Amino acid sequence: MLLVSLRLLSVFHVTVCTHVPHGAHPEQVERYAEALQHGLFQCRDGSEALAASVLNDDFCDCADGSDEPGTGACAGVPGAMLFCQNLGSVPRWVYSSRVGDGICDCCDGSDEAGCPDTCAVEGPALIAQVRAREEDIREGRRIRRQQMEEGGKQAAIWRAEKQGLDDELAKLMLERSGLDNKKAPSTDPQVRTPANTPKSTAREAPAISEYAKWSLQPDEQNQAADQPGELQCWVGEFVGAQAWCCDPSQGPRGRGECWDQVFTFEACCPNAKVATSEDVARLIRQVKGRIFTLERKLKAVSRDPRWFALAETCVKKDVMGKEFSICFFGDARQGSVSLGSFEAWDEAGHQQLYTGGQRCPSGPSRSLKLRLVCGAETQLLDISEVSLCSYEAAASAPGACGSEDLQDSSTPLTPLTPLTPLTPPQ
Amino acid sequence: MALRVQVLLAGWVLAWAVDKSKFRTCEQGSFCRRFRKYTDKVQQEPGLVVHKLEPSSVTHAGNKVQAQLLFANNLRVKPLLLRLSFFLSDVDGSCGIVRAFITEQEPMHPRFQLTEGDVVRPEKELKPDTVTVRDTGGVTEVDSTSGTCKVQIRHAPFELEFMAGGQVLRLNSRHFLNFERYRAKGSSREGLVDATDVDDGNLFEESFGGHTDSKPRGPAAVGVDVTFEGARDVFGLAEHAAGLGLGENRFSEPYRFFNLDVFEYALDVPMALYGAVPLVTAVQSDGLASGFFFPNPSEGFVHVEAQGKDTRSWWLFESGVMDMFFLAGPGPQEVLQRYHTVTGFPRLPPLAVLGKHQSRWNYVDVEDSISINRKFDQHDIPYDVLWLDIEHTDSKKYFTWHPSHFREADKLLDTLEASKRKLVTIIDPHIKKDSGYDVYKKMQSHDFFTKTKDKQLYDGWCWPGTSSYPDFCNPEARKLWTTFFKMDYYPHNRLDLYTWNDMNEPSVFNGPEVTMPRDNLHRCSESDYKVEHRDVHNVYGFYHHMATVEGQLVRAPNVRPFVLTRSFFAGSHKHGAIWTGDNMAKWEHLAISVPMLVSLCLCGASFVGADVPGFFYDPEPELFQRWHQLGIWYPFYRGHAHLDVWLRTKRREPWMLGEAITQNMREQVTVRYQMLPTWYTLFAQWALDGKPIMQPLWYQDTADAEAFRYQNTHFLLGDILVRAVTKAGERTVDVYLPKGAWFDFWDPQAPPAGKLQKLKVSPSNVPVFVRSGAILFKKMRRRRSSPTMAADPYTVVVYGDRARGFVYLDDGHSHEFKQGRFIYDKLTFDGQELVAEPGQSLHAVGAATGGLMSQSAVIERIIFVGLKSAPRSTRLGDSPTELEVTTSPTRNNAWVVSIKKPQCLLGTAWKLRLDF
Repeated sequence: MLLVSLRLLSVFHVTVCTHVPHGAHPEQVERYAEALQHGLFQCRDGSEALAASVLNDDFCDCADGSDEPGTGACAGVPGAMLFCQNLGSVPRWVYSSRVGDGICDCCDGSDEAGCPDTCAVEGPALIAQVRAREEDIREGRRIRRQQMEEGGKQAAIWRAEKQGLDDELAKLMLERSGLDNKKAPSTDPQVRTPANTPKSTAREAPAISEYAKWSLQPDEQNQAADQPGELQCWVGEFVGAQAWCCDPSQGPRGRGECWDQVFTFEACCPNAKVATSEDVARLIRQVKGRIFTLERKLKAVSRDPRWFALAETCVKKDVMGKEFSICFFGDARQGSVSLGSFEAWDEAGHQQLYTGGQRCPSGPSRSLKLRLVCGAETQLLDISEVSLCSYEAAASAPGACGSEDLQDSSTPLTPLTPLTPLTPPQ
Repeated sequence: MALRVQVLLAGWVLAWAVDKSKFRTCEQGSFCRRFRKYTDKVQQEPGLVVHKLEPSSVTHAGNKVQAQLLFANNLRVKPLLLRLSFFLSDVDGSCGIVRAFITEQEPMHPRFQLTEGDVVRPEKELKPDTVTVRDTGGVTEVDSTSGTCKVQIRHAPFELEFMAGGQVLRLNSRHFLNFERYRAKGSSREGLVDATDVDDGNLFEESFGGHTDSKPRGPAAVGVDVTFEGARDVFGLAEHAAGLGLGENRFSEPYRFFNLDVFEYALDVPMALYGAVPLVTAVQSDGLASGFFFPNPSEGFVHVEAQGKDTRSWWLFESGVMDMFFLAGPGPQEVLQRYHTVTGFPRLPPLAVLGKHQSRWNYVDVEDSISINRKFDQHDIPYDVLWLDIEHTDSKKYFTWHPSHFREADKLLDTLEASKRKLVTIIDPHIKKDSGYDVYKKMQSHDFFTKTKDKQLYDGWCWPGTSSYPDFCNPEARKLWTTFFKMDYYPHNRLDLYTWNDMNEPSVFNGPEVTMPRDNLHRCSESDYKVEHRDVHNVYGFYHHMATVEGQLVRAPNVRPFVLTRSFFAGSHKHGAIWTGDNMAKWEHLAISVPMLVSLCLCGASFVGADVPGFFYDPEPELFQRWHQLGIWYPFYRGHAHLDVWLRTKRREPWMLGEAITQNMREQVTVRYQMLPTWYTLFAQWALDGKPIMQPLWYQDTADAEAFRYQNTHFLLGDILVRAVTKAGERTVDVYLPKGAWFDFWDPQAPPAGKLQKLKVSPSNVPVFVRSGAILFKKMRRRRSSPTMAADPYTVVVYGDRARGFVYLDDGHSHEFKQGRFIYDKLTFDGQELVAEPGQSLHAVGAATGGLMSQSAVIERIIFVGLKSAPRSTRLGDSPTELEVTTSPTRNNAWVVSIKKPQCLLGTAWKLRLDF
């Protein structure tokens, strides 16, 4: 809407603005000095130049409300607020709708006529709170930087693991297609008598790599590695090699490092169970599962390395006798009930969404929105069921600390908490 | 709240839409079935005479005429008594109220009559209209001595014609009069006397839906036909989920009155709903209007059909007497003022309850409720009243609090008080049968509960399980009920803790048609339990509501009560607000809310609203927004939602659907609050002057035939036109603008419009227009609640070159206005001068004397919209100082002119002069 404005009558004042208008922020001194020149007041949006007397005259002249920082006249104009200095306590912004409405909102009484100054009463505790919060945020940012470095290393490990598993998967797929073609165990005598087979043709493309063993069953592999033995079907390099190589608990093909195309599990290990396509399929599933998990972790953190530290972390909290736990980028639970698994970040990147939890009786499956706020410690701050089977939680984590955090409070909705980093007056 | 759930032995079972078979049709009840057969017979035999007036029996004194009606076919049957009483309108003193009373003499059982003063005011309070009577041979003419109103009674067959100005209502011109005298079971007689002589089935017992009605007193129905001559358009008969035009709906089934808790009610049907106002207003083709009112609280059926130029109707009730009122116009406004003369003027609510109400079944506990309050503040969205549904109680025992969740109710009440907001708690009529429950014990020890036909304590199922139902018809029971609202009785009570009366049809989960058996017994004003429930069914909720209001008055006589009710009867407007019950979050329910609410307003009840955005189910975001955008233009604006379990109605506070919708909600709710001074004036003009707040489009100009077609649009007292957006994805709508020029409420720069407009609709609001010639009063500053706006100055908006408007204000909460302590100004603009004349009068309270104001009366801004040119100078009175003026052109080369701080006060006389 274009307003062509004619001020038919104005009372001109020559005002030199050297003080902060009531309700404005001290840092806005210059802005108001600029706005008030040559006896005129320029609305912040530049739309109108009005008589200087319009400033705080309890009448809303500017469409953007900038002429009434200290009264309620522009209450309802988006962004219209009053700044209470609250000397002796914590300064804060209040909506203009709170100014002159008969309710004392600022402890210094600057939002109302006739409100006592109670800042000395509430001040010390609030200041301590704000200081503690500021310290927490500083510490959180320090930890965040540290975690980002560690996170970078961890990500490299995950990427390497994923690379190895990708290779492994390719091999497994190849083997499965081989098994599918081989309807029955081979009847080729050469294959069944490895002693007659020239060694030079051996050891190409082991069916299951060391890497897969390590990543899928590292503990057993390590224990087994300590056992000496004899390799009968190999070249007899150590005693008990057959038992070691033919260990069916190591999978359908025993110990993969023992075999090549000539010396195979089936050939060297009498009575051994022959690997079936089902066995390979199970391995494929296992490898795919691990790849999926790694991919999810990598994808989750790839938006910002600050989240690496969370990826393997769980937090817990008791709320009204119920135990809630959330493993970041994993699962959220209430006791044994799943509230969902990590699905995605919200668009703004402030919240994680966990979906697909246990279904409610005749209801939807449970889901959770997790808001992350800056804090030195990673902990679950609050969780509640906002509507049936729909949960909302807040957790603190250093990863959530950014440069904005000193301005932002833990409840960003309310301007009743400080919006600007003002050190409380001494 | 108030889903109806069928209780079976196995537990709770849900029905998913209205089960029509659960509710009786005309054919399924014996009295309606035989009445239809009787009317068929009468119509087939044109010469048939059933009733004739005995000319020698006519007596007359002052404003009354009395006569006997003989049964022509059996003269041994004791004649009926006919009494006509003439009264004047309270508002303008003109004639045009005729009460026609017909009953049997020396009945075998007393025929139930409502206590004088409850629904209809005591006759001694009405102004009598003296009449003259003359017999012109076969016709007795009764003439008002104060005007042109008269009644002609044809003797044989008996017919009655009511005339006032140009309006004519005919009673019994089709000879449907049926008066079933009480008789002993098995008695017989000769000749056609009433409908039982045509069909004598189920006279003494009948069953429906597995329930048997013992009917120990036998048939007692009363019925008659009424013809509205020259009137094609007939309105009223709230509450039905149907279109406004009663004849236009063309239902073959009659409109039913039998207050019921109908689960997931159907639309566009004449089925009974929660309340009953047996009043119609008929509008003739020449624009004249008249009314007919038949306040019988037993089950009723009213059939309405357009026939040629006339509308024909018949009215039938299961028992009681025929106590009928003819109400003259000339306009629909005057009909309603006569209705209020007869039933009483509405109760003026406290200002705060015109703000936004926030409800849900259920805010879980004190902490949850406080967090809702806090979030409204964080989002800077105003609201006034938080509501607690049944779960806030200890085991659904009303007047108690949940022992853990609401143990610290004071903390909640303190929090609300700190932001100058209020709390409503629900108080239903069913009382949990629990010997440890004090309300139960007190009611029981006084023997105030409704009895079965065998005079045993009646138990029914409702929310708490087995429950008893106070006999609210009994004034002593009501008196005991009022004591439960005393400060020292109801824990955590406050002077402005308000109340919600739900389930008061009454809803009985295991009863016939989900209500109480008709053969149950009440005491009412008798010495013993001898009034059958069938006689008083439709006033059960009325009396529950009335007793609750009286309870709040006992608690604090000078604090205005606020009680919302679901069930109601004619006269409930004297008690409090009404809502349209358990609707659904569906577009069709949004659409029907407008005709349903307008219909209630045409029945004298203007403090009405529908749950926004529908009680059952989850609204899609667009429906959520459109309904709130409409809801801010309801007289009663409450957000409410069903419980989360069963139907899974999710949380839907204003901020639940993302930033864009939250922002829109903030703006729209702010508009509601900015308009509160206008709303309060509308409420004063309704409560104290009898003018309905929501009006149909034809209301201001009954000769505008086109206007009768639009049901999606309503007026607020004629000056503000609101068009609901009733379909998903609707980008353009037709808006019919009656005669005159109309300004866009949302865009004062837009040229004024008229006639049928095809409009592009904004996603941010529904179309709203203001009549050129109107003056609106606003307070522009957003606040957190209405009491925090008390000190805010006014903005006056004058639309067009010639305008007139009123503004009412008082302290907003006490009864001091009854002593004249209010401001009521008339502002008139003639194109040059805006003149304020204070001390105007309202019918119920006389002239304003000002005084006792805790409210600001300062005008900070006067805006003229649509001036042909911009003024050169502007001065208040003789002051030499020119006022500061901002002008801006509109898109049709007119001007919007805003005057800053004109230095004038409401409640004082002043003149503002514009020089061009």
